[in-house]
Amino acid sequence: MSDFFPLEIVENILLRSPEKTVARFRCVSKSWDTLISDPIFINKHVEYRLLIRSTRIYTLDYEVHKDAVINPPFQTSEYHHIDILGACNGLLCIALNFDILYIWNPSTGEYRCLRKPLLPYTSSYIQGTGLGYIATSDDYELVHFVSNEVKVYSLRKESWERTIRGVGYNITKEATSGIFVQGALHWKTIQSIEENHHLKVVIAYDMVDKKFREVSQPHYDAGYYHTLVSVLDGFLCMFCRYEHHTVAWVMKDYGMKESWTKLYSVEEPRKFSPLHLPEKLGSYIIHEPHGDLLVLYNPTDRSLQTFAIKDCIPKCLFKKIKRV
Amino acid sequence: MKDSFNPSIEPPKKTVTLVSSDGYDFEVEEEVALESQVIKDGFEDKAVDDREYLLFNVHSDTLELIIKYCEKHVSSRKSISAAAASSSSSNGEEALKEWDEHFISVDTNTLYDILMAADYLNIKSLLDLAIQKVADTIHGRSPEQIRKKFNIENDSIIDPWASE
Repeated sequence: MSDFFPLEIVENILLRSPEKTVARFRCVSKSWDTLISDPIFINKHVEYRLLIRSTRIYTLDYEVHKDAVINPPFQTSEYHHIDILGACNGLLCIALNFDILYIWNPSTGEYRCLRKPLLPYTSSYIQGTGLGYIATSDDYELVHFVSNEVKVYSLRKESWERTIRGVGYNITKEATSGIFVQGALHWKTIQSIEENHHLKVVIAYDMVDKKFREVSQPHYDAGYYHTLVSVLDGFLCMFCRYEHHTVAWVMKDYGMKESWTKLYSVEEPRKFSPLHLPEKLGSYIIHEPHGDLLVLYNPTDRSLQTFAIKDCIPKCLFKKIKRV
Repeated sequence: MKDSFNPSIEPPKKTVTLVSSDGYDFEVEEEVALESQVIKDGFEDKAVDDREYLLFNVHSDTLELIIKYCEKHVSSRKSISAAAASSSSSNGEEALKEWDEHFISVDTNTLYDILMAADYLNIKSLLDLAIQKVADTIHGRSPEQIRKKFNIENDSIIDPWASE
């Protein structure tokens, strides 16, 4: 027991320390370890970050406008193609050269190399991936589907399983790195109804009942040309891009179409597209696809700050760090 | 508290008395004492002539610092809002930040005393300041240094090298 500070003060101190520091302090004492390993603490110790793939993997702390490379503990080289297949509670699923898969916790450095999935993973396939968490079994699962085949890797069982049910949707666009919200992974994709008839849909894979379903979308105003599925403060969120502005919608009551609520609309400079619009922050991150620049934009004074990362392929939201 | 002679014609300010754990009386202005949420809660219910607070957990050395902090914040807030009202430019907030940083740059034991007193008296801005200072000082330290600094017994069963 710490005689110096009461534990609730220690907790407050540790909540203000970076994850790396905190992970190292688990061995200070039993009570510190208990505190740091507690899911309630972990959930409070959330640092929303954006995860960026370029030739390497970066985290972006947009509150302090800082980017940092995170180096995997496993062997990589500049010749490797690194892809992020999913991110959930700070765990990452990484694919190297479309071949070797890793589940990796960047805060602790722990990782696991998965035996190759039975489904081929290449960039040319129409497929989806995502990493999700199942609370009832305290397990993480990597979901991977190719056309109508679905395979799931359980971190706890350390094995792949082919699910009996297929996707059930005729998906025609790749949908990597699903967004994990409300116990399900979400992808935006294009469904072909018939030869020349395509629909933009959001599909979800429920981690518990292992089924795919379609998720209703907001009543967008006409004239948009691009949508992006994301997560904002734990709500499923859609960014809807118009020529000069972006509208953010959140589904306040998950699964209820009527609960889609328009949060705000932000004007932005041309040629940029939104990447992440944190609700509480005045500024937001936009992405310039042609120059592959990443920019922090403040709509109030229209100032732009460019991040140092170049050639980025922004991937997914990255939350807190959790031990495997 | 030092009593200073003030020949101004303003009406005398209302004061309250704070008594430290070692028995010293500190007479402070009401608004300064009200920086503490604990004193603020239920303040109105207390009789005007009974505005004395026994602070069993705060030593006079610490209480003096705490009062200094609260006085500074009360007066800075006034000058910042006065500058805002006359729409003259002010670097009051910057200056206060600097003052805070200087104020909290103390040795570990004093920092500990300030933190615990701010927690006990529930002075949120001071508690935040002290906690942030501790968080900054532990950054980059080894677990062993932390134990030493915070006087923690090593009962850990975790191999410190396993997580490195």
